[in-house]
Amino acid sequence: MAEMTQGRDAAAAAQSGLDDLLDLDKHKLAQVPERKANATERWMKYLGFPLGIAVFLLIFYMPLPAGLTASGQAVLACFALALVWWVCEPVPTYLTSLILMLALVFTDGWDQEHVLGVLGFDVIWLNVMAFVLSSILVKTALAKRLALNLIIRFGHNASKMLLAFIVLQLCLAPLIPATAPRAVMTLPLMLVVAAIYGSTSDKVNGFGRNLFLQNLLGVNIFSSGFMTGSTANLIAISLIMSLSGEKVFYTDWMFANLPVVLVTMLLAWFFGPRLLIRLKPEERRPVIPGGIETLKRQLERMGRISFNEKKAAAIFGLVIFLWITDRFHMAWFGFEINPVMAAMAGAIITFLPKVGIIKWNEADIPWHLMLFSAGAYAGGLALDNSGAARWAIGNLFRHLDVGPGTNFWVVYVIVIAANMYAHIFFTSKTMRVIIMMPIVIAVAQQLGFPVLALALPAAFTTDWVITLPINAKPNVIYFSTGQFSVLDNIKYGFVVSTLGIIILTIAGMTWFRFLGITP
Amino acid sequence: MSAGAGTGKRALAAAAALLLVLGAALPARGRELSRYEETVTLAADGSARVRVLLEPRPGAAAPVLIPVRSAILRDVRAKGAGSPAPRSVARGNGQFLEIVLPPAPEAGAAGTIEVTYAMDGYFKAGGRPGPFGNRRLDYRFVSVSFAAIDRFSASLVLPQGWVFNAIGRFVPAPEKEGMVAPFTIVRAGQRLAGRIGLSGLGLGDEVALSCTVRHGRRSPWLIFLLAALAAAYLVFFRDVLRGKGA
Repeated sequence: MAEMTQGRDAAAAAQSGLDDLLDLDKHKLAQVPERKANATERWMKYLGFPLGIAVFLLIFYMPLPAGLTASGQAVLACFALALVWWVCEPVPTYLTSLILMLALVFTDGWDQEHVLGVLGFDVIWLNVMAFVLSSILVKTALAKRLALNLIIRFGHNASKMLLAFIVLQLCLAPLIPATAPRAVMTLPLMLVVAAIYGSTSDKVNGFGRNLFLQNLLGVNIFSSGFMTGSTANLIAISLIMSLSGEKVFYTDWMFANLPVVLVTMLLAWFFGPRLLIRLKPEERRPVIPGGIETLKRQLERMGRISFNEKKAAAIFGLVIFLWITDRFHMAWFGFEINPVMAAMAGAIITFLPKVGIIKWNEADIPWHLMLFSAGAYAGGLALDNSGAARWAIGNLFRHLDVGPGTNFWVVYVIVIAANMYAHIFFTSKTMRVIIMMPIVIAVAQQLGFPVLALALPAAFTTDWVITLPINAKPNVIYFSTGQFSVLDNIKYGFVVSTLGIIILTIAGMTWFRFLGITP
Repeated sequence: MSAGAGTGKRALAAAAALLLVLGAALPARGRELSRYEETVTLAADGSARVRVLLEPRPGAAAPVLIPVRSAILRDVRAKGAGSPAPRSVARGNGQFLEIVLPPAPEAGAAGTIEVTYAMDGYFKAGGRPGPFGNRRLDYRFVSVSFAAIDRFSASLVLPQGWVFNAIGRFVPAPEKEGMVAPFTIVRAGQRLAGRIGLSGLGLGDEVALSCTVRHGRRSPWLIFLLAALAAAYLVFFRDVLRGKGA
């Protein structure tokens, strides 16, 4: 009798623990997660502060080089300071963003009106609205239901689970051309799955770090598999066509680059948990006592799908439908519904009295993330606006000593590497493409190489924005969960970027040559 | 209607009127130049020495108008083929130096003509500067009598120790994304110069640049302030190494 009582108590405790684990209200994104830094990160924090200041002073007071304006020099100095602080985190990342915005104005790098105006950009609005939509998935437990289903089918071990998310990101990439909505759609599922594998923002483990970083890679890199995967890809193609007269079709792009992307992601999936952030044996299976069976019981306990869950699915479905069908909007409505407006329409329905699902206080919006994003965008835009980014990139190519007679493959590797690693210093893909692509085309024309042979592979690197949280919207969104550190991001991002250069080079010598892209 | 829009319309109307007046006053087809090169060397007091090089293409004798910013010019001189004597004239709202290009029946016969002058107040150097010590510097050229200019260039050479702070408006604006304004900052000896280079200007085409310039020396107080801040952080945030503090 006593044993039976003890057994019932243990089962009840396990159930209560599982409920706690899956209760995403306890892991609000609006709260800044507290992470315990390791010894290296503590040293980086301590030395990062004076290092950032030293870099700022060095750039700000160096004699002004020809080609650069004084405001450009100030922006470079401020951005370098922020970059060091974002990486080393002597102060929280959102605070660094605020300091950057203040520094830009106080050093005459960019005027106050423009700096403050960044918070009104569509990217910030998209983030806010997307988090409102994400909140309804959490509030109605639809995210929990979907995640439990996903785990029961694929989640018997960590490897299959990680692969399932990679496949999910691959399927979403050609359907939804904006990366931020894709990140927000998958975020609640990832939070639940990470929790089931024992990784929460206050106690992160190897599975959570791998899951979030592989999705960060997936959401960005899969975009480069399709010409319509991001707006930046389309700008790259339009620049190639207008500046060189070469035409590139959707299928040219996809046949050439999708295999590159798939190989990269499969390698990242396989080697990531084995070499980059090693999974301990206990992190390879769900940490729920009773394992998958408990999760099945949990799913059964949730019962049939509730009316509110159906409503949440309908609202989310409507928004996704608008995102997917953007190319038909002109024909249907006579105007195009921008992804931000689609998300806003969904958010409005969400908040409508009696019709909606949540109230304002229930929306989990990480405002620190918005400030972080705003600062990063302000810095990036100021770099572009002041001409500093163009000056730096132009100087890089001038100093690489590339001239007539240089072997094509040497130039190819330099161009690919420069385009790939340049993402570390940019906060917008579009801006990077607008600055880099004309330079690549000019290099090809000056050296007498076919423009497509250099420009198209360079364009394939556009969406590889994977090294820092500031590099792209999905990175910021995933970073807000506290499931990985900046150092984790750098480790994964830098290794996969380098891997990308190697794969693109091999593809250039084989696959692209077979397709007639490279000579 | 906003004041800005009103001013813009008035400026447009004035420019159109000027072109009409000039169109009536000039021969049906103006003279073509293979090169127009203007160098404006600025002094810290706001004055400038301007040198304009004209390289006409073959054609009949024709009067041409070189736009200047003021009616009050000093040391106006012209050198070169035909030694044309420049004279200051006003047309509409604009001030010009008028010279008559000598006839040149064949290529290269006209040679190069150099016009130089000096003027005060090219930019406002006196009084309190704007925020951060910035002063506004504008350049504008409108081709009112040259039928075509193959190569156009203008250089703004700043006073020694001065720098370009920010580039504002540039005309003609780049047509497409990815294209940049044909403006570069280069070193000219000890000075910085902003160089505009364009080709294929026609009658009525405008080239304009609006920017801010200032003395390049930065105040050192920021070095001391930030160095003190960095030192204070290293002292007071040692507990970061033990996993506390920031």
